[in-house]
Amino acid sequence: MPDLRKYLQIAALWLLGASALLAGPASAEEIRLWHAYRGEEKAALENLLERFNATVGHNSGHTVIPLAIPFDSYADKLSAALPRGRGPDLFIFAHDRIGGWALSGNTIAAVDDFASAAILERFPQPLRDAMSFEGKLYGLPFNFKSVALIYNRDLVPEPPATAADMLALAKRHTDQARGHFGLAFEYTEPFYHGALLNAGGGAFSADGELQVDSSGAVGALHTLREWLATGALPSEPTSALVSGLFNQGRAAMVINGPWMLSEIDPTIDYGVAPLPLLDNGEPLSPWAAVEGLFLSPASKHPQAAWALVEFLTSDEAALEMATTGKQLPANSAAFSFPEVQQNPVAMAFRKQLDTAQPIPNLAEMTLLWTPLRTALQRTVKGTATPEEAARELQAGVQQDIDTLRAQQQALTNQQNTQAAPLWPWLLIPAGLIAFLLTGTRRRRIAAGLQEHRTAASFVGPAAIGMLVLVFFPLAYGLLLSFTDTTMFNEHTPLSSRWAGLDNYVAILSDWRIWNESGVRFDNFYWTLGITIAWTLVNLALTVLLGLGLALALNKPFRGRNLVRVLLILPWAIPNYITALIWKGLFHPQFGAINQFVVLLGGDPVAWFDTVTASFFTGVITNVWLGFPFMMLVILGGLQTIPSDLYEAARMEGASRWQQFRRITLPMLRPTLLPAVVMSVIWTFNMFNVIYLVSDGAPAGANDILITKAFRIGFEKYQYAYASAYSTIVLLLLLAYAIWQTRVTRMTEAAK
Amino acid sequence: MTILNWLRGLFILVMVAIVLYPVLWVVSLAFSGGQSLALVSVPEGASFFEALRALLPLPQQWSLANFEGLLTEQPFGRWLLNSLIIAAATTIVGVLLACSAAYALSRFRFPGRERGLMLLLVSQMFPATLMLIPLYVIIVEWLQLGNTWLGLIAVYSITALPFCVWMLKGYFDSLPVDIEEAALMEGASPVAIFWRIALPLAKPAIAVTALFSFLTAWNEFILASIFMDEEALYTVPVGLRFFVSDFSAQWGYFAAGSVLVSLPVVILFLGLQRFLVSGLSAGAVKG
Repeated sequence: MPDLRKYLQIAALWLLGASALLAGPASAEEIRLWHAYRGEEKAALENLLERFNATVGHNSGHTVIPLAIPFDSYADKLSAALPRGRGPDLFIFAHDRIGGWALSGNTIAAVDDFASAAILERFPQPLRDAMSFEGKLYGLPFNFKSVALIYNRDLVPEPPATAADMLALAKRHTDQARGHFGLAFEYTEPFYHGALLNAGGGAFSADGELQVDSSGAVGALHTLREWLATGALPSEPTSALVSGLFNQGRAAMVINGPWMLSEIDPTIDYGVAPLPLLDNGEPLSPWAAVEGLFLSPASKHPQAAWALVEFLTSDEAALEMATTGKQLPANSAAFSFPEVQQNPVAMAFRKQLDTAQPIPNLAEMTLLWTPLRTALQRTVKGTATPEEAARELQAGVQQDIDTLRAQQQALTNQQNTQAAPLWPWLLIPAGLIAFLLTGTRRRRIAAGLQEHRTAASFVGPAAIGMLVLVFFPLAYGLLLSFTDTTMFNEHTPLSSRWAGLDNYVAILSDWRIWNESGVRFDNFYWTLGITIAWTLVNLALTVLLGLGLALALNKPFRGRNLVRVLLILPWAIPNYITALIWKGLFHPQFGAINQFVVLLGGDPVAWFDTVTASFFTGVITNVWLGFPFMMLVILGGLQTIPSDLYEAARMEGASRWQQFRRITLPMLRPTLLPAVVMSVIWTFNMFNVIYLVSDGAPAGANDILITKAFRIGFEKYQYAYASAYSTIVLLLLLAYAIWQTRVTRMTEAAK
Repeated sequence: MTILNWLRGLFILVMVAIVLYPVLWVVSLAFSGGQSLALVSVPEGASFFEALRALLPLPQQWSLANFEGLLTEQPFGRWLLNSLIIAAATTIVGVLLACSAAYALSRFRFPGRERGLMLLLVSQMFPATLMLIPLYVIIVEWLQLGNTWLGLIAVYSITALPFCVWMLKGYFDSLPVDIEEAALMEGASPVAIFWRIALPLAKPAIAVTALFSFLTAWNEFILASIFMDEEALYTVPVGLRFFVSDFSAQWGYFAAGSVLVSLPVVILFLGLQRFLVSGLSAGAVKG
């Protein structure tokens, strides 16, 4: 569509009237480096890049251009850019994605040809292994991170040597009534559970088979339960809670990583020690995350980029990263510099590395995180025994793994992609045109365009914009739902991925809502029910609150303008932070809501433990965020009601209630309807609130369809399945919108 | 009567308190100088009022350290400027497109009109996360608008369109057509009628759509960080997310940034308040 493209570009330029807004393209001699560093680590990296540009880069005629990217969008940005050859030459990322990237192709380059034995000597063996997948090396390790024991020296003079000592010590420093705990860590987060899990043999066997139901893994769950039974650990631990407790001197010891150090209150005297030994003499063995330096396969300057990799992993660079950057460099030489050796914190984390294990870089590992979190929560809350939780975890994750492997297998067996039907491609535009044109006579199209030239010129720009930037992506999403696209076959031609209605059949025909241990929360129909309940409850509450406030604010009083602005605040503040504040308010031990409840003489509520309570954490947050919109709409609606109607009613002796029923409500109807329709659509797909507040707790029971689709797509790599989920959401909402329009039209006609 | 008034006052007070409580947490975190989300714990044996005091989100000490850090550690001012330009341009482009489309949908009868309105709704029904890759392909690969303000402005103004068109179309529906008909009789062109008569009458509704478009562009994070390849071109929401990384988060900076980011929106609200109320009402009369 070159003509259309040109037209759009010209039109867009004309609209802005400034070509100066276009940034210039990158010049040929640049090496582009992407990373997610900030603060000290970023400063250290930039120092190093400057040094490189002045020396090695200067000699070879290359300049490094770094780009910092927020962690939350980094992975998305990489997977959008790299397979299309548009990414950086070099990037820094956690090593645990290597397996997935290597299998999907076009994302990272193998570097065996570049890496000499001398270079590899720089790193301890486990870190080298972390960067290898199926016998190939995919980059060099840069820095590593693992948890260790961080303790408050005023409370704990000497770090405990064994787990038994640690718990005894923790119990002594626990005073639940005053909110003091001996030990705090995010024990329901899989990454932190690694210490126990790896001591029990790890999540995967040496040949890459899932073994989360092994006796060692079950034992790890039992040990965790024993730890919690001491009462020395706080409930619902989040990273904010752990660092908050430690900073207030209310946690004697925490298990956390080097990222926490910069947040520790300067008044706290802390020390760091490797995690203690278990009772059987085995060390606790936390997971290590390794930040690797990766080359893009599309890089035009792989040699120069590799020179930069060698420079960044040199002894000199490692020292800079350790001192200025306060990082733990993968290059062992860093720890023999006196500056670093005199730093007991760095040396303690280095010592922890000896017993730590890099997170498995298998693609299968990504499938484990969320189910493992669910299993941990169930075990901790006692809704499942360790044996049950482990068995279900193994079965569920194994099934996802089998799905992915079967497809990988099919992909490698597929010699020549079979000729696929072309008609699905045509179906989309044909359907769109049919949708637009049914009800009109075809012969009139040409004449119609002429006749409706004015209308077309008014609607045209918006329609073209919508077509290109909304309906094309939408059509792509719909198309995807008829394929079996996952991360691994994304780059194969679409025709070879055609799967017809398979995804829809799989979703809609799964009637197993119950099994022996209760409701299966990952079933489509359960999630659909929750989503409908979620939408209805939210809608009812926002409309009721909005109506009440609008009525209350409709009569003038002193300070009304101020109140109106205050009530609008939830709309103005970025909801990312307010949603998290609400999550904090709901914390069972330290949240303000439970404290209020206790103050008023009630019992604290375990907000995230039951389906109902957890459901309402989301609802309360969402109503708080959503009622200002409804209030404004109704407030405006009230102002369109002529006041003489009320006067006439009063003359006839109608009560306030009768006036409300007979005048206010019917006159508000037309105002409310469009707002309700929009609100239903937005609430049905309200991703942020669910994801940030309850995160579907307990065990995914409170996921709505959109968060479920996200989990399937981005935590299980099954893009097509997620797309089918989303398409079903679209069809449901479309049915609702059509029904609503019909009803409105019928009631209007009836008048 | 008086009892009703008392109840009304009480209701408003309670709602203001409920709205303000979490907001105060954000503000107090921003001014605390610290980074961790505060904890609430009522000391044992505290009296009712001491307990209440403990539950009030007031920082232990007031400090501007978070604001200083925010403004000096990163080019926050530059990002604020980028955001303002992008949001302002989005508002102008979005409102222009929405006005003309809504006017046509309200005044002209043409094939596809009803379905066009339905399609606008449909566009709101599909999750944005799944449209990320195709949008990237269109904006960056086809239109070559990656790393430009233009690309973001185009996407944002189109994203805000459906709501804006619905609002404005409803408002135009509620405006009497007599004046426009009279102008037509006197030989005015449709474009002139639209510019000279319909648009000035629709000012209140335009204020609402403008605000909505502005907010769409002002708060968007993921597309801005995926399309932009230079730190100097980032927007404020992207800058804010730097404070949340995989293992930890600097909530103090984030809160300070949120307070700063909310200020322009609140000022805009204050300015548009009068329009806002009457604008939404009339716009929604028929939908």
